[in-house]
Amino acid sequence: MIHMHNVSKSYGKNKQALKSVHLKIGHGMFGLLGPNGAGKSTLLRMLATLLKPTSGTITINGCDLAREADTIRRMIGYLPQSFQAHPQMTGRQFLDYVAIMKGIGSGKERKRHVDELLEQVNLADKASLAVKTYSGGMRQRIGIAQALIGCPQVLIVDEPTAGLDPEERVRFRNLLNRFSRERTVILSTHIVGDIETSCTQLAVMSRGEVRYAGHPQGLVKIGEGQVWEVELSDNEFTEFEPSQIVGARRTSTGVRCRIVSSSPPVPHAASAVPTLEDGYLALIGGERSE
Amino acid sequence: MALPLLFGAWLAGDLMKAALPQSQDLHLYVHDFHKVKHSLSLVIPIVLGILFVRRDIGKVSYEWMAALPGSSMVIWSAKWVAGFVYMSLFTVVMAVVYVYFAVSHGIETGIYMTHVWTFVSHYEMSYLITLVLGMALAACIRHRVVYLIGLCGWMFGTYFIDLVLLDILTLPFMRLLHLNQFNLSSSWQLEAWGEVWRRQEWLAFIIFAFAFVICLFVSAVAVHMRNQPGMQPLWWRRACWICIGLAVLAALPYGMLWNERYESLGTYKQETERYVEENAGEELERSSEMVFKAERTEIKVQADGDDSAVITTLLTGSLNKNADGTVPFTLDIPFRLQEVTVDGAPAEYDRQGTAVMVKTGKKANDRVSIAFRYDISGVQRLYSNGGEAITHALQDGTVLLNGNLAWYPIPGNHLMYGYANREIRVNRTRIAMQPQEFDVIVKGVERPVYATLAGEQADDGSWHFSSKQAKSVHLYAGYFIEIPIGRDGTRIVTTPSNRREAERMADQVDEAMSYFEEWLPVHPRVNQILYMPMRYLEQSIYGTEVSGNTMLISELKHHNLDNYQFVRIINSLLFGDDALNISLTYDEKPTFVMELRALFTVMHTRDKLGLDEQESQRSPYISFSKSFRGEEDNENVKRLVKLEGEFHAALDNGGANRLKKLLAEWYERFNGLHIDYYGNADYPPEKYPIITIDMLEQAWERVSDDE
Repeated sequence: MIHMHNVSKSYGKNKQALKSVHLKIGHGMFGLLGPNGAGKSTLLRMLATLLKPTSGTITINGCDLAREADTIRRMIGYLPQSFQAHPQMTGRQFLDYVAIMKGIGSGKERKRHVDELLEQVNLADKASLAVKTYSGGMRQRIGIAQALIGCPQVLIVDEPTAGLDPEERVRFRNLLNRFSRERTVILSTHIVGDIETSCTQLAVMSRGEVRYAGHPQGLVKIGEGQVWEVELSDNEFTEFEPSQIVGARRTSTGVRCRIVSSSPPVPHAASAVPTLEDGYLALIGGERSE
Repeated sequence: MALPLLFGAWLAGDLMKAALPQSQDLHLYVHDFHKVKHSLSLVIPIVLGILFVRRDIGKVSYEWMAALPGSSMVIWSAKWVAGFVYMSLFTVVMAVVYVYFAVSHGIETGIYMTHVWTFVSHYEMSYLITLVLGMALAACIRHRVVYLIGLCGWMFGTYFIDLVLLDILTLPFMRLLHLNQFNLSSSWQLEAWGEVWRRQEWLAFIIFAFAFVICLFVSAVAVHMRNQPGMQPLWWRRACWICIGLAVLAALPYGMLWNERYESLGTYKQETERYVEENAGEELERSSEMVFKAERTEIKVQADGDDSAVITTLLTGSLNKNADGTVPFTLDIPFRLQEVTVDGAPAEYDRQGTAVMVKTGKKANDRVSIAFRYDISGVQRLYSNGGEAITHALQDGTVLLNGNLAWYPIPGNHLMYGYANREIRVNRTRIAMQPQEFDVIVKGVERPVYATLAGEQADDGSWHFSSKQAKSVHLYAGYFIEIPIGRDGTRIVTTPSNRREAERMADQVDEAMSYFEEWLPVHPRVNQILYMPMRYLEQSIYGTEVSGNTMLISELKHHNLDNYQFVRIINSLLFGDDALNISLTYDEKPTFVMELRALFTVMHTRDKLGLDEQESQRSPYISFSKSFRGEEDNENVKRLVKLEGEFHAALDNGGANRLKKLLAEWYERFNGLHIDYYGNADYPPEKYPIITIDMLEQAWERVSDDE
């Protein structure tokens, strides 16, 4: 269990990256949603023991971050937003190196563990190739493998699917889903689809604050009564702010749009059933348009 | 691997230049390489150190490393060790290349291994510091401008310190911050002594360097980790301060060393000012010489085997007619006077700087024996032109006691030092010393002792040197080798890296001297050649000099045992002085003795080596027509050149034996054609034989008539 109480982070006097964050994260996969610059990475870097909060407390499985960072490091695995491994090493060498750094002294045990992880991330057949020859998806997978070395109780992954092609993204999501059965996985992303399929809990952040924390269904509910579907002519379509339109599909008579708005955007608009993305956009949509 | 190998190839290329016709002294070449190119190589560890941090430790995409359990110290240390191991490849390659050349130059194993140890320890220390400096810079400066700053740091820590702080501003203590302790102007280069003389400073530097490395390392890690939780800021701050304190403390031995040296320099400065204020300069000097004339000087040096010696000097002579009982002597500043006795009884004396005024209580014309007991310790240094200038030294079995710098009391009050541009400099005007009998005994020195007087080791291990007629005596002990010339005890004493060059010259000289000894009763005045680099010795020797039984040759890369020195050596061995390439034909009493002496070399090249006239004139110092170029209208020169031509013609026509007979006759008649030559001194007529052109022509006519 991860507890964050009144956590703030400031850089200098004027820039506040996090403002009084309260969060509880339990077992399973936890999604952290938010636009770019919302403070997700700052929060994750704190959980990964890379940053000290300016104020507030963070405990992970009962260990206080300020005092027991070393203990916390032994129970977490971290995959940063843009992950790089030592390019000259092969995948196997790299994982072996990380295993040594994580304190697995026995060579035999390391080999078994590394082989197991290579299998899990589907890189066994590429294990003897240098990391620099890997594709983006393979690098993310070797990244997740390094984070999983030592079977950490908490896995922290920061926007792991950014830059991956759709197929790789789906594979990666499933991989995380699988790992989340035995541990806490905190997945930060600004792609709602990544969270929709796997997270049992989530939080939405914006401008350094937690705007929502709870079940995905709760976020969906926020969108209820705020999502509309309407068919617009080309002229009408151009009159709407792009941030209001969350989906658009061209038809033979015009453009069929899905619009997030607290009131009907046009008189003939029909109320629609919200999705998680609609709920998310309904929650932060106003701020995004500012 | 390519860079270390290239570095080795570069060194090999430089060491290959240690070949004829320039000096073959491997030590000079390897040091020149260390001074310049090792400094250049230090740019690699500084860039490597920066890269180590910037490539992963300091990069956001490698943040996962900082989230790993275990101390960041481990990652930093691992990187530092990896970098150090890589840089050590440069050291290994350097050592291998040097050993290869050392073996091929015939340097003894013990000697080159000592050098290798010195080189390796210096290289490793340089790389150790520079690497951590690069890492620390990268930890403190996240921007890529760190590369530029790193390069500036490297430039400051090497050439800037050398050229500006040491050379121009003469701040020798700034060597502490030098990344490469093989400075551009460094007495390390003196193979005979350098390593012993710099040992103390090197040890003091090592203490500081290690503390500085730890300080930089801890600070770098602390700066890098300052934002991480679990990092106890107070603890780290304390650790940094402790390390900085440690580095400051570690600099103390070095600071104390320099404090002592600066105190000593202060004494020199005071002495110089005192002399200028109190004395009427030259007048006093001349008058003081007239007070006491030493006839015999007995010196006993009792070294303690470490770094000090007690010296007793007994001067016997008579007071001059103008003496009033007080006799002035000059004794160099670092010699601490303990006691003075006159005819065995303690006497009053007054010492100020180099001047010792002894109250003898004697009257004019009295004979008197004045004994001085004094001591000295360590290496005595002056600093000028950015470099060290060693005056005297007594340390760990090495000895340098310079007779020109009054290591024993010299009668008279002489100006020894001058002070200009914040530098103490030795007065280049030589003290005119009177010939006298010398007897020197040296005890307690482990290494063989060499003096500029004839002598040998006694059964009790002491060294005994003496001369009936000498002007001064220098003593040397250090890393020297002896290369015999023939079998009569004549030898070249030189440094180990000069073995090949000295052996070649010894063979050449032996061959030539054997030729001369066949028809000439050679006067054995000089029987020792001391050849070594003297650049950092405050020795006042430019080129060559004959002192007592020794010809001293100051070695440089292009002032070595080449054909020019060969002629000089032969000249010294034949005539007992170093006068060459001068003409005394325009002096108060013109003499053609120099031209006559040149004919001996002509005989050797023509008769022994079999060269014809044209070929022989390519040899140095033997062509009159070349020597007097531009003065062809002078009547004497015309006559001399004519004689030269006739001399060659006689040689061409098989008249060598008659010419030998003539030269031998002149050699015997004029005391071996010896000139009382002493550096830049004047040549009063009594110092050289007067041989006129008429005398030469008459003798030549006589020989021609015989023919």
